[in-house]
This record gives sequence, structure tokens and C-alpha cells, in this order.
Amino acid sequence: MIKKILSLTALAMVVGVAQADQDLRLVLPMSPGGGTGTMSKFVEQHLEENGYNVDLQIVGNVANAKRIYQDPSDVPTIVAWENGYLLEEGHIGNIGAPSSEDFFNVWFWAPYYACSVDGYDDILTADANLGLNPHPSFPQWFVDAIVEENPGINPITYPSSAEIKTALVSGEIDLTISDRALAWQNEGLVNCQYNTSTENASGLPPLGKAMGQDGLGFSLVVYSFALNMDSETIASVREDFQSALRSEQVVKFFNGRGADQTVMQKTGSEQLDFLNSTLGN
Amino acid sequence: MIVEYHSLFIVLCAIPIGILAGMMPGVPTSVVLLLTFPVIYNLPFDFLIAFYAAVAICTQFSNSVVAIYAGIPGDLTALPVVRERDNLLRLFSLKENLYRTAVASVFGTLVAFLILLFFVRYLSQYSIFLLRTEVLFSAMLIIFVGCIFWPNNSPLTNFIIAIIGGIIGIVGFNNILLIDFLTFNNSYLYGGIPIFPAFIALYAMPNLLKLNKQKKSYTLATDSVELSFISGQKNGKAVLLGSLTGSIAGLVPLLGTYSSSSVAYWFAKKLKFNSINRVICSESSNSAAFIIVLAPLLVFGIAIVPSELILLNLLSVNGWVIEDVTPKTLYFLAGVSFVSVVFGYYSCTKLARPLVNFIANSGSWMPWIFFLTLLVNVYIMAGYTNEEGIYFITFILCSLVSLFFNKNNIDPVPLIFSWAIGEQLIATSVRMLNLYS
Repeated sequence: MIKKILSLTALAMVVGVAQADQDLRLVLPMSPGGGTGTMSKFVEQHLEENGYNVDLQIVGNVANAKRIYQDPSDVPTIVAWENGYLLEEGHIGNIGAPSSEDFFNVWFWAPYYACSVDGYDDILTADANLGLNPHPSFPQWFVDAIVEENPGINPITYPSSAEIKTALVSGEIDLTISDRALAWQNEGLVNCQYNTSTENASGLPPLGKAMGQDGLGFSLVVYSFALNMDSETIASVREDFQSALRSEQVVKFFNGRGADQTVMQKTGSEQLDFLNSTLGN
Repeated sequence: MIVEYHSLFIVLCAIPIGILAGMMPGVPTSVVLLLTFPVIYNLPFDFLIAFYAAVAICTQFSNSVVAIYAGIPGDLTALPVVRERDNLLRLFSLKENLYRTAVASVFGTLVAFLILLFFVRYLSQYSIFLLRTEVLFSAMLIIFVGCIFWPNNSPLTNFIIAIIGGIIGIVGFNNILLIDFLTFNNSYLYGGIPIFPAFIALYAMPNLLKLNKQKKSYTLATDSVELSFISGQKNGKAVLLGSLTGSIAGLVPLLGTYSSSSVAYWFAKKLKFNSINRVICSESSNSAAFIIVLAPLLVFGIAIVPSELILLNLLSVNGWVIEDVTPKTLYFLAGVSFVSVVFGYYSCTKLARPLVNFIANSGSWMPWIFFLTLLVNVYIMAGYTNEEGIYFITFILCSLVSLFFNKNNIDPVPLIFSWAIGEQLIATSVRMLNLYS
């Protein structure tokens, strides 16, 4: 009898080990209520439904994220990052461009849109207050280039997109550059004239080109790198991760934002090329 | 849907929790939020706001019960009731006193809620100019001035601790100014110094110390005069005056809720109201004030009383923005407030005696349980935010400061508020300069 119990216990343990979920830690330096934070919850849900035990840590800022992923640990970890953190020299989030060894994948790409309220010209000619997203999502060098082109504008930084929208409605600002502005155009709040990447997006021309500077542009790229994973694990996890990024909930969430944001459909090597070209490497 | 039911259950639990907390001096709404932190941390925004409202309504209901029945002011708002207690118990039965103050609370809450609904709906639709930087900046300046004139300390003490609080509040990497302030290149300070452990050490724990001390002073009332249940007193004017006074006074940052009952009491005395009407006026004013404080939060996203500060922090860490306030928020809030009022009324008229007796005879274990819960919650909060080190250091340092404050009779509220608004005040000031430069 005892033998039977022991053998059944052993069998149960073997089956348990065989069926154990794969541990995966996901670290985000963003705020829990933001776009990437919300998206990561859908990703977590999808991965958990597909055999992963996900420890999602949305830690609010880059300093926290660095502390966590630099802790000695052998848990396979994916750290989300954004290109804004890399572009300002000396910023606390400057970890250097990812190498091909630890690059994991691109989550999404999103341009910003330059728009104005009714009765105002576009950003290159208007004499008005311009509301901006805070650093590091939107870099100062890009703002400096715009102010040099049009000294009549007065850039004002707001802590969040929601506050920019309020400032537009209340008449405090007349122009904006925001990744959410296309949705505001759909609500009839603004008219968008440019996008801030180097290519056409949503039928809008690049702002840099309109300023006569072909290479000048900025768009938000959220990407991630992998820690504590060998190349075989990276390959298998990447496949599941990309399917999570293309899951119904994520796509629905992106469509709901009403912006020309693209969840990455490319392969790993194409994504790395895309990222390096975006970062200017 | 499972999540929604679970959240709804937690919100409904706020009602008995609020009733019990209101009967315990030293357990105001803010302390309830800190004690229940692990269960409310992940509540959806609308549910969290409703939880707060239910606790605030119910604590104000039962606050007056313990003031009449045990002679203990749970906080400053119950002082007029304690002042009139001997008169009330001489003239009316205990039952009638409890009934009338509960009715005053019902009307105060309902009137303030109607004003709140009108305020939020009207302001958000037609008066978006009130969200301009100038208005926000003015509101924050008023809060800062409120800190300076906080009645429990001298203005000089308030000024000094408010400045210290403001400086602590702006420590960290400032996303607007793009500079590190007083971080000394220490990455643990980039995210700023957390206010939750400070609030627990400086405010919640010293408050709990009062519980045992005050329980010893409970003098439980008995019915000395047996009158008919309803003695024919007319209270309509008193209720209306109190509700309107509370709905206006409650909007004064920091001082409003605490002084609303005294202001209404002063008006009632000037108008020569009798004893019961003076108490009814102050009680309805008190209940109205605790509802109307939600208006600045729902319109501007700013906190004007300590308990709201906790609520706002909880909302903010989960990414709440003012755009999340929708008609659904208000309807849900209205529903939960209505249920809270009904249960608050029932508890204060039917269950007052057993509940107060239970608390009076509960021994000294209760504050210790709360103390331990708060300590565990500091640990849980630190875990949620992945900032264990800075949380524990802040908690220990603030506990030492708290001992110093306690010894020197310094109320920490101005320090906590200026700490909380420090960063926002700087960011708004810079925006003001940009707009007008």
C-alpha cells in the first residue's frame, strides 16, 4: 500500500514537473495605466493562457527597472524599453543601444502628430502655445529644431496626454505634438498637419521634411531585450511573445487608440534592422 | 464579471468598516484606506472612488453616535455634539438624539451629493476653463496657505514644516524640469521619496495611539428622560442651513471639512437655534462637507483633505487620469452612496448601543492589531512598487520624526500635504512661467 502511494506520488510529481509553466519575468519602466502598461497586461494574459507563469512588473520609471533587471537572478526576463530613453545623453535611462545578442523584439512603433485647433495655422507658421508630451517620450532636440524654424511658438510641457487634451479644450494651448492627437482629430478637436517620423504616416507628411531637414524625425519605438535566456529559449519564447503581441485584445486596444501605431509583424532580424535604423546606428 | 463582483463586494464591505471606524477615535477615513490597502490597491478606479465615499459617509454617521453616546469626539468635527451633549441628554431621549442626528446626516449627505453631481457634470461640460493652469496653480497655492494656517500648530511651525515637506516632495528626477533634485546620484532616490510610509508613520500611527487613551474616557449615556420617540421638534431649517454650509465650507482646502461643523454650529447659535437644532445643523454640515470634498478630486484631480491624498495616490499609481471620470463614475458613486446612507442610518439608530459597547469593552488589543496591520501594509506596498529599501528607510525615519512631533505636540498635516503637492506645485509653477513669459 505504502509502495503504491509512493509510486503514485512520484508519478504525480513527474507529471507536475512536466506540466510546470515556464517562468518569465516581464519588466516595464512605464506607468501601469499608460498605453504600454495596459498592453503588457494583455500580453501577460495571453502568455499565461499558453503555458507561461508570468511575473509582470510595471515599475513606473527607468531607475526601478534597472534595479530589478540588474539584480542577480536566473529567471528568464524580458525588459521593455523605449527609444526615448536612449536618445538623451546622460539621462538616467541611457543603457546604450541593444546589441544583437540581447535584443528580443519590437513591440510597436508610433509616430507623433503635429496638430492645431481651428483658427490656427500649422506648427511652422503659427504664433501660439505648443503643448508637448514630457521627456523622454519626446526629445528636446526635436523641440529645439522646431523652435529654431518658428520662433513664434512657445513650447509648454505637460505631464500627460490627458492634460494636453484638457489644455487644448480650455484654450490654454493652440498647437500640440502628441501620439494621441490623431484620435483627437477624429473627435473634431484638432486638425493634424504633420507626423513626426521620417516617413509618411496616416496620410500626413513628415515634419522634418517640411522643415527642409530630410533626416530629422522622431517616433516612439517600444522594444525589449532578453536576459537569462540562451538562444534556443529566446527563439521559442519570441514566437509565443509575438503571438501575444498580435492577440485579439492587443490589436483591439491599438485600434481603439485611433492612432497609426503599428504592432510589429516583422521577423526578429527585420525588427533589429528596423530598430537600428530608427536609432541611427 | 468575476472581477467586477469581487470589486463590488469589497466596496460594500466599506460600509460596515466605515461604521466601525467612525466609532473609534483615531481611525479616520485616511487610516481606513491605509489599513485596507492590500485589498483596495487593485480596485478599478470607479470602485475605489466609491469605496472611499462609502467609508467617508459611514464614518461621519457613526462619529456623531459615539459623540452622543460615549461623549468622545472622534475628531474635530464632532466637537459641537460633545459640547451640547449634556443639554441633549437632559432634554431628549438617547434614542431620539441618535435618530435626529442620523436624519441630519442623511439629509446633509444627500444635499451635498446633489450639489456634487451638478458641480461635476456642469463643470466638466461647460466650464473646462477651470482646468486651466492658472486655476490649478491657484488651488495649490490655497492648499499651501491652508497648510500655513493649520489650526493645530503655530503659523511659524506650520511654515517651517511645510517648507521641509515641499522640499522632500520634489526630491527625485523631475520629468518636467528634466533635472535630478537632491538625489545625490543615488538611483533609489530618482523615483522620489514615497509618501505612503510617511503617512503611516507620521499620521496613522500617532492617531491610533489616541484610541486606547480615549476609550478610557467613554462615559456611556443612559436614557435619563423618557420622552416619546419623536418629540415634535421641527428641524428642516437646521438641516438645510447645515447642508448648504457644509457644501460650501467643505471646499476650503484642508480646513474645510474639519471646520464645517463648527461654522454651521456658529451660524446656528447666531440664529438662536435650540440645542438639538444646533447639533443637527453641525451634523448635516459635517456630512455634506465630507461628500463635497470629492468635487475638486473629480474635476481637477487634486486632493484637499488627508484621506483624499491617500485615495489620489492609490488612483495615480494605477494610472488614473481625470479623463477616467465618466458619467458611469458618478452613477456608481451615487448608487453606493445611497446604500451607505441607508445602512449608515440603520446602524446609527438601531445598532448604536451594541457597537459602541463592543468597542468600549474591546480591551487594548484593537489598536495593536491595527498597528501590526499597518506595518504589514508598509511591507506589502513596498513589494508592489519594488522600492523596498526606500520604503523602509522612509518609514523608519518618519517614525523617529513622529516621536519628535508627538513629544512637541506638532501636528504633521502641513508637512504631509506640502510633501504631497510639492512636485505638482513646482511643475505647475514652471508651466505658469512658460505661459506668461
